[in-house]
Amino acid sequence: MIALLLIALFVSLTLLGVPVFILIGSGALLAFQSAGMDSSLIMAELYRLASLPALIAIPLFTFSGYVLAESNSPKRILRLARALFGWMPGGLAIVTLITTALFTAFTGASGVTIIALGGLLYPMLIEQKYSEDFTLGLLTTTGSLGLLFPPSLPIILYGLIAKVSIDKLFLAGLIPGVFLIVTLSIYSLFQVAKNKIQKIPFSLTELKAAAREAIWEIPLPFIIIGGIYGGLFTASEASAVMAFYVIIAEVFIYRDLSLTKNLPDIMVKSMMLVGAILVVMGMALGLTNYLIDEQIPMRLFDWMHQYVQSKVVFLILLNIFLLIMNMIEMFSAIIIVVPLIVPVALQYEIDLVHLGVIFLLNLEIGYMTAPFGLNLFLSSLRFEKPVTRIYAASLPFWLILIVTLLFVTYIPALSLFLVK
Amino acid sequence: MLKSLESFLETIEKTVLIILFCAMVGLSFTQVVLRAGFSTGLLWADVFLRHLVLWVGFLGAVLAVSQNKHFAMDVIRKAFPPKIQNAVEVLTDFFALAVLWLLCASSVKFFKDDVQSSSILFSLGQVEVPSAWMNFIIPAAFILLAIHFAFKTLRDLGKLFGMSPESPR
Repeated sequence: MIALLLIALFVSLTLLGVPVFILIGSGALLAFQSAGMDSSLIMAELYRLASLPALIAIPLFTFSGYVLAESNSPKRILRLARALFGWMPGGLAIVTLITTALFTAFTGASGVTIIALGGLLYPMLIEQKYSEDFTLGLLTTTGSLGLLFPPSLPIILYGLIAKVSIDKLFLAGLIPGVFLIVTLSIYSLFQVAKNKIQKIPFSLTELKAAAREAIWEIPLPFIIIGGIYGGLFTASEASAVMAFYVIIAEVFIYRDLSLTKNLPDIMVKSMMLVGAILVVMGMALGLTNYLIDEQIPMRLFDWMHQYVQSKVVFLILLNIFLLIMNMIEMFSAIIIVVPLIVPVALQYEIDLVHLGVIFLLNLEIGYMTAPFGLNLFLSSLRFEKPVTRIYAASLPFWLILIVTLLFVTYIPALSLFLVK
Repeated sequence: MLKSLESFLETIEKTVLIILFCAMVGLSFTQVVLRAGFSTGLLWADVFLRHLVLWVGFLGAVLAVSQNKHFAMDVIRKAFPPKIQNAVEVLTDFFALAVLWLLCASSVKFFKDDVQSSSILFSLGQVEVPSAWMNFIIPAAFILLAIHFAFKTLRDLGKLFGMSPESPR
């Protein structure tokens, strides 16, 4: 009875908008109190943050992404991609998919893709006679496309919390990520045929000019992604290289950002996001550890096992649950749900790397799931369209993503092929 | 008056954050160069860097309060009429303050225990750095979080009782 009242209280506080870290903190305080443990142990748990070796990748990659987003690099990368792929059938749609995926991977899906690139791509796509609904749907979807590619922040977060090698996760996300882009490209080609969209003529001079302009940004994906895949350095080392590199490129070479004014602002702004993640993580370490000590995941498994024996049904239920969680608040969802789901998933003999890919893909879809997905609101704001219009425009894309999610969920080899 | 006090505090916090962040970028890059180029590295640097993450991260969390950047589910609250939104916000502020008060107490106790244990985190040449030096950020962060939430509560109370803020943030 008391437990039910407490749960009702927590739910209503959540819905009223109490910050997530305060909610988890209060849960931890309550749990430690009821178990007769000293409350300073919550802080001892929080301090475990400092023993996570890859923790530093979070602030450094987040900062680098913010630097890229605030510089003119989105414009340069877009120009280059247009010159490279624009001449293909459905070229501009494919350009959109590739640039946004790359950009989201590097900026950690904090919503900047729609804000920074969406505004540039929208008029271009409309001018090429893509229908408005297709354009809105495409740009809403691409706001989180690329979460599966390194060095995306949610991958790192999952790796840290599930205690899975981040380098392995980076490899595992590769095929499902490419699969996703290919599927969406094929859908775009149908649109091209339907709307009789012309190709953009190829121009070698434009390609040369675009390449010369972006010459300092071209090496970045090769250094970072290549460096990690090639085993040259670890994810956290890559983050150090990238932070240093983007400062040199955007501040000293391109001079897009000023050293004394923009750069400190970006440091502060990006660390606010990191801080918001860290306090939730810190508080959750205490609470989830208590829940694990109390065998809550095992009880959850025992209870579930009475109804659900098959791995497949468990995965379906997991997907539905994750979609709802991620639609509401994705960073908090990873931090709180992962430690509790991992022991249950292990009982169902699910590979944790595979689970990570399922998790991230759900995250990607959760971003654009009606009615609360963040991308839907960002698109509505950015393109000044009612959010209901965005719901309708992104529905076909949502369905495509759900189908790819099914593939990725039930064919573990898609994720595990490169890892093994 | 309150506003200038808050922004004064934020200026100090930002300055510390920026200095530490620069140190973090510089030192972590140096480590990569040393390892990849010379197969060596600074022994103390990795532990130090991991603690620096706590410093810059928690300072970021402290600064996020006045900008409303902490994760919260506010879709439903935003559907209410403005007056009720205000009242709900004050309510949640007080809840946050109460929780932060308890967390402050627990973090101060944690810090005191750590000072007493006087364990050494790493040595930098002749200087042995006790873990308490680096852990100082934990109680500091919770106390600052509470202070900034108190500022926010006062601001929200002012809005609720019709004392319009001098300038919208």
